Amino acid sequence: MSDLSVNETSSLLGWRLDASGALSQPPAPTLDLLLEPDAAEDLGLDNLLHLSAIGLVFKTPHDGRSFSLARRLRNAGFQGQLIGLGRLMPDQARHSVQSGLDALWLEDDLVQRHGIRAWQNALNVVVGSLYNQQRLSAEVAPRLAAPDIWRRRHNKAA
Amino acid sequence: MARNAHAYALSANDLLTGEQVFWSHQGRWCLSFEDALFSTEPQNLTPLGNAEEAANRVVGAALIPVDENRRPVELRDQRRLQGVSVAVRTTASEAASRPSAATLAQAA
Amino acid sequence: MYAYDQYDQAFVEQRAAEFREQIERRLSGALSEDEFKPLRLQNGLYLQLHAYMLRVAIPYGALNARQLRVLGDLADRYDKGYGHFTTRQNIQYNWTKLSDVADMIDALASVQMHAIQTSGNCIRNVTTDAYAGVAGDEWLDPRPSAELLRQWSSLHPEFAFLPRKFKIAVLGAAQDRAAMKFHDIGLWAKLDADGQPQYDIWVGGGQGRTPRVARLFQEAVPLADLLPTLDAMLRVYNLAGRRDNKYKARIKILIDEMGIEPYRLAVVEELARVDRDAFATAVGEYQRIAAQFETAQRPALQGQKVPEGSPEFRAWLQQNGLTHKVNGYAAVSVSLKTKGAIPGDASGAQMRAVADLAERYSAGEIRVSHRQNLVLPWVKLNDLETLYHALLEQDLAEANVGLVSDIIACPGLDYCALATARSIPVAQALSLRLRERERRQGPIEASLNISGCINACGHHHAANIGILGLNRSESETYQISLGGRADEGAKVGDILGPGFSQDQVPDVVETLLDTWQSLREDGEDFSQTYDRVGKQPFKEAVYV
Repeated sequence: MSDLSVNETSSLLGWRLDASGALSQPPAPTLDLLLEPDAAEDLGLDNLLHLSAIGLVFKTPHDGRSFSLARRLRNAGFQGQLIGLGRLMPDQARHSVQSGLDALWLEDDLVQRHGIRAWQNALNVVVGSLYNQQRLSAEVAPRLAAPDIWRRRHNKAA
Repeated sequence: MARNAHAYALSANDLLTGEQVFWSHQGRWCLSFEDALFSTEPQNLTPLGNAEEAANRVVGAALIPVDENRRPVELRDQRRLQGVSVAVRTTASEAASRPSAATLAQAA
Repeated sequence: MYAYDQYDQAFVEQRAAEFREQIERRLSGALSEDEFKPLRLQNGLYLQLHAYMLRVAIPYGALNARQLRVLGDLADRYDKGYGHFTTRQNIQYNWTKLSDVADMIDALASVQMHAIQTSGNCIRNVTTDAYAGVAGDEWLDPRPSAELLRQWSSLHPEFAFLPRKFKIAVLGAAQDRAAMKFHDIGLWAKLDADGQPQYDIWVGGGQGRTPRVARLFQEAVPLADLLPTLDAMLRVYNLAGRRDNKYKARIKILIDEMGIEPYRLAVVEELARVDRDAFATAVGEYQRIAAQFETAQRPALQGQKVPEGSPEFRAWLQQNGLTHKVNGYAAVSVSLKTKGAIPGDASGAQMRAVADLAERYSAGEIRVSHRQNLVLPWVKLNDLETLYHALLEQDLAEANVGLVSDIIACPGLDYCALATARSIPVAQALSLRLRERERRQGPIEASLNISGCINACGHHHAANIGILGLNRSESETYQISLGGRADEGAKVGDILGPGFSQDQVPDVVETLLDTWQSLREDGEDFSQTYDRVGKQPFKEAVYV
């Protein structure tokens, strides 16, 4: 299980980068679970599917396991919110959304260090620009409906 | 401390050009090993390298251990200072036929 | 050849703009080096001993003349007049500046090229047989599969921060000319009973400090299942691969530690969850791509005949030519291994000259081989002698492709920040010696590869004679291995014994060749003799 508790995270001063690209400072999200990649296998996928909000922890900018956890959860039919937390870069925001996350919850010093502008621009890369896009978050998908390149080429809906 | 090290120089790659640079007596980076500052106290050079990296002037700051004759004791440093072991194949005729920036911009 | 449409073009331009902005943020200090490093590596930018090095992708080794001309121009404008073709169908520029790289990427995008994922812990440039589409022993052109994989893997959001790099090669012929079994995933494309593509999937090959020949994962995977299967294979690896030690992070180690059967079961479980709808367009996309390659194929020609020519011409064609699948044509290799040359290096002028010759004699097409040579795939038989003479003028007509002097070598400690010893001077000394031996003896069909460190970019494990440069007590030492091979019978070589100094290497290699030639039976190649007699006679000959 995660070594961070949900309560600690809730008290953080932070920013939310939404899948639409909007950067704001709302109250911290309420999460049912903070999921660290090391703990994921032990928890069992079936035990997670009923949750309404899961925080996916990125321990370093080099560790992409939480992208795969997000994809696995979406593939398994997880309908709730997936929020990325931890040491992410603005350049990884599109990876997050494209892997099925809803938003990132960013600590203030991380946002300040990269600059607010970098985070505001982080999702200027259009999500629909991939050749082959897998399932997005149910909440995000209708707002980012640009089909992937293969669908556009072959006249298929997203 | 490296084995057989008598003193140390501080080296790095320049952030912009990637060229190997050395911390000099003048308190700035230089391109020539001849002008490098040699110190018997590496603990003074390491924080300097870290600070220069943090200031985004250089990348890969590292100490070069040298012997009494200021010759690097490690093979990698020796080879790096010698430069590539073959003549770079740029003939005069090729240099003359180099495309200009404008040609490339036009192609783009 | 495959030509970009507006989507492909917008894709590379968008990536070029993104990387330009990332460089600006690095220079402003908004990105630390620790953060910038994975971003620059994913765009092929390394920091080496003397400068930044930019590695440009040549997807499945295919180039048109315009592209090769731009590669030559980049060598002259931003490098010191040359580029280095690598074992994975890339070209490297060794002397670039961070401030120039964005302009270089723009120039590449203008001719439908890029440097996407030529490095980093992501899915790398997909490689294949340099003779794809023209080899006489081909069942299925592997290029449409490779292009499908290029598109699928490009900027893949989930697989951009894997435990370690991930290399995929695709084959479609009886003979393996792409070292497929030394890749993280190797795909051997074949036709099913209905003439549709299917794939044998091999997994866990690789070189480096723990060399492994790939193991068969699954046979006869239909095209419609290919991407879902790869998706599941990569996801299991991304989640379960080791991240505590970069030398144990490749998929080959995961499979060693987990076992191939448990890995297979994990993939089957993952595959059951994969959203098949997401991949519903893949077969149609494959067909769209394949149609482009089919259109570019040439019809058979009547009245073409190989000119009689000089003995030198005939020797060149015999050595550097390959039987073509279409009547009236030959595919010929342009050796970048002239006597004393740096393996894989070509000057800007040479690149432009080959581009001109490709336009005149090879339907404007060029290929880059994993043995660091170029290939002109569509030469009319009537044109062969004229082409030969034109190549002679450029010092590009060395008749040694596939011979022992056709040396593979990495840049080594002359350039590479990871290297432990130099490769280039060793390769040059051997080239001089072995070319002379071939002049005396005729063709010597054996492979000789040199790596400047244990990471094995010079494929030393996979050579009949492999040379590995090491640092022993701050002195360059060269360890020899024997009996490796990179073809369909892939095998990792055996270490012969203690290493040698740089000066000793040419004599040692000649002794090894003497020993092989004295022991070989009729028609045996080096591997066959070695497999029959073992290491001992070679060891006794060398360590007297």
